[in-house]
Amino acid sequence: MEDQNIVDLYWARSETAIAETENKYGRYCGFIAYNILHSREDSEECVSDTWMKAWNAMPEARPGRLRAFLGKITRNLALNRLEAASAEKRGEGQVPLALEELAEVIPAADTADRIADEMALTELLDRFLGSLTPEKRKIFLQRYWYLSSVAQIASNLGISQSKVKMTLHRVRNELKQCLENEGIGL
Amino acid sequence: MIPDEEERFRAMKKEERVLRALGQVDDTYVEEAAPGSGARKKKRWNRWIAAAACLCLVAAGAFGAVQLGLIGGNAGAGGGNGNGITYMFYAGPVFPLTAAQEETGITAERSLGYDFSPYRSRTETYTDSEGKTVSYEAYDAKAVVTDEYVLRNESGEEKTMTLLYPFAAGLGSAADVKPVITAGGKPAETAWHIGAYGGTFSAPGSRENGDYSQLNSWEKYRALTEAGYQKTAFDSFPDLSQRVAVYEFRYVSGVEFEAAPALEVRVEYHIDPERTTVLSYGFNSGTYDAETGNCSRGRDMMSPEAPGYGETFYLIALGEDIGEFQMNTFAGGEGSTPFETFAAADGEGKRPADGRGGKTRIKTDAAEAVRYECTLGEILTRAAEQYLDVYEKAVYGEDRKALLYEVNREEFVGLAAEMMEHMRLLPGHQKERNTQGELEDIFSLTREADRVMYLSFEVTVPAGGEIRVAARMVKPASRDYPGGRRNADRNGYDMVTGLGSVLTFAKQTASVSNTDAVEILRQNFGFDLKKGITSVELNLDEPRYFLEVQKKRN
Repeated sequence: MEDQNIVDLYWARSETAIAETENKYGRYCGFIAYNILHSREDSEECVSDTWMKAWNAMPEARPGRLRAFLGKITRNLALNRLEAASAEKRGEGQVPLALEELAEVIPAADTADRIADEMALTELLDRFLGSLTPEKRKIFLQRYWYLSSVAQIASNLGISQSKVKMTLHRVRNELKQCLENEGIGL
Repeated sequence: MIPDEEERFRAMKKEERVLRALGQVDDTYVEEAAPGSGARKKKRWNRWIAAAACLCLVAAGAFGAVQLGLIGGNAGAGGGNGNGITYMFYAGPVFPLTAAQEETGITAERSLGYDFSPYRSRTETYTDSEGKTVSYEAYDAKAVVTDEYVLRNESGEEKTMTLLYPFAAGLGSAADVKPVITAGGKPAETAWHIGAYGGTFSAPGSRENGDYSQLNSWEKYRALTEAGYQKTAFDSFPDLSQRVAVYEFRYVSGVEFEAAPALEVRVEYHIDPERTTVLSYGFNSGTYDAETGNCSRGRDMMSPEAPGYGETFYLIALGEDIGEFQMNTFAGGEGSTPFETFAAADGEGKRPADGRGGKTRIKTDAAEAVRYECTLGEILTRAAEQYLDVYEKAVYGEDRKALLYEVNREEFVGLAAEMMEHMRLLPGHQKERNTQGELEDIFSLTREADRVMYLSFEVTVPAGGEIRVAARMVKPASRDYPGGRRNADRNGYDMVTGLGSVLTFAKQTASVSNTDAVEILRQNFGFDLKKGITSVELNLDEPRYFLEVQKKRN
């Protein structure tokens, strides 16, 4: 079913909307949740919560890109759930590794003119992503948005793991440079 | 950002802030990077892409869904052809009664009635996430249609004939819209004949992008009818007796989702596209390089609750068998400790060159494949049963499954084979092929495609006498989708006066009733609700009448 039809079902308060969403995006959202939570049970709950959030958000919301809309909800819910989880649980999945890597992009404190809030940081990230080639952008977002492993990214894009690692390293450096040039601190 | 969230954001580690802020980046980038969104050079597909395309035909079912009463109206001009609008979901016209014989010697008077009582508001409730019961106003954008005929035999001989009542539907929606026929005041015993898929695939390869023609206007139904479509409902299905090689895969015992949720089984093989067509069932990704003939199909480990899959998944080789192939299992990558058992021991199997003909077993640490031969009909039936049992039930629940089950398995497989012929999957059309041969998509399209179906029944009209025949059905409206489109809230109902009918009509009338909950926006019937004109005589030279109504706002 096309996204617009699914959104229509939400607007019509038809419970078929959930079944159709699950059918079309269950695996997608499950993938995002699992990469973050690394637990089947938690991922399933997180995906169910995603449908509930979507149900409560529509109407009012009429997402133009349903996949990204749902994916963002899942990602947020999964990160929140991870935050509340025990230290032991937090150690699993891709998030700790991704955070370690992202620590490399933090500019030195003395280069910052201002401290960015989330909105300003997102705006900058949007501009930064727009400046990347599509391939670099995909690799970067598959790692830090979808929290995919290097092996998954290599397999998905049909490139070697070493190329993925090298690209990630370069893009992180470019992002650090970008934050420093903009004088934005974190 | 609201203050609490800002505070929370501030309290995060710096790298966590980056991770969180990334979550809000432009949707375009998120979609672009979605896993499976495309590798270069080789084509990679996902069964959901095509399934999504063909499922857009499900709108008949979707718009059987309750419409919210609070949707606002918009009486702006339509975007169509000046004779009603072109709809995104077209429910098809009401067709006239016809007969199997070319000459009947019967004259007919027809009266068609639209009853709009389903538009009357009612209160329904749902339970929200906090367990509260919320009530809302609902109505159905449907009309109860009664299509009545008086058939007169003015000859001096009694006439017995087979009548056909056509109606537009897909297999998935047929049970909802199938007319009930009465003849001589009694329920008629009818047989159900299902016409072939009536759309086209616009060009070889286009199917991959879900680009195919829908029956979205009455003119398309007219073109089909004039091209002799009715015959397809009575033709025999394609011959499925040819022998094919089947590779049946299953996970080896002990491989469970809990232990290896990211496990992928991938099969890589080579074909000569001129000589071999490969169908698959149960795989959810793949690559195909038309230049080299190198192909792969992958299947992720699915949760036991995931819809659509049973234990087995298949590759089916039509024509020349697949050559040597490799089967590998991948565990899901680094940093994923529980999978390492599989990662460390990625299995690999090769089919021996002399394996053709006999049973060959190939095994990796996680999955095994067995090769055998059977007829195409047998394996299609097996896959269709799996599809109908598991997929339909999971997606639509027991009720929808029961509705589809009015179509027997043999007929469903026959219709799927017709679809395959249409998609040029059966031998002889390798170069023009429109699909990679995922059976889920073929079955899904078979289920959802717009068609014309026919109910046949016999009547005897006495010499110099008459008989009354009536068809009663619940007709969904043709619609554009609500939500900002300029034609939203317009509900269209079409009828055709003589299209496809061999009967000689002496007179036709149309009427509307229970119109208190609707207002008429556009029409060419001549109804005037304010003046009380609810019944009109139709001009038989006018091939099509249209009526657009809108739910009255409170």
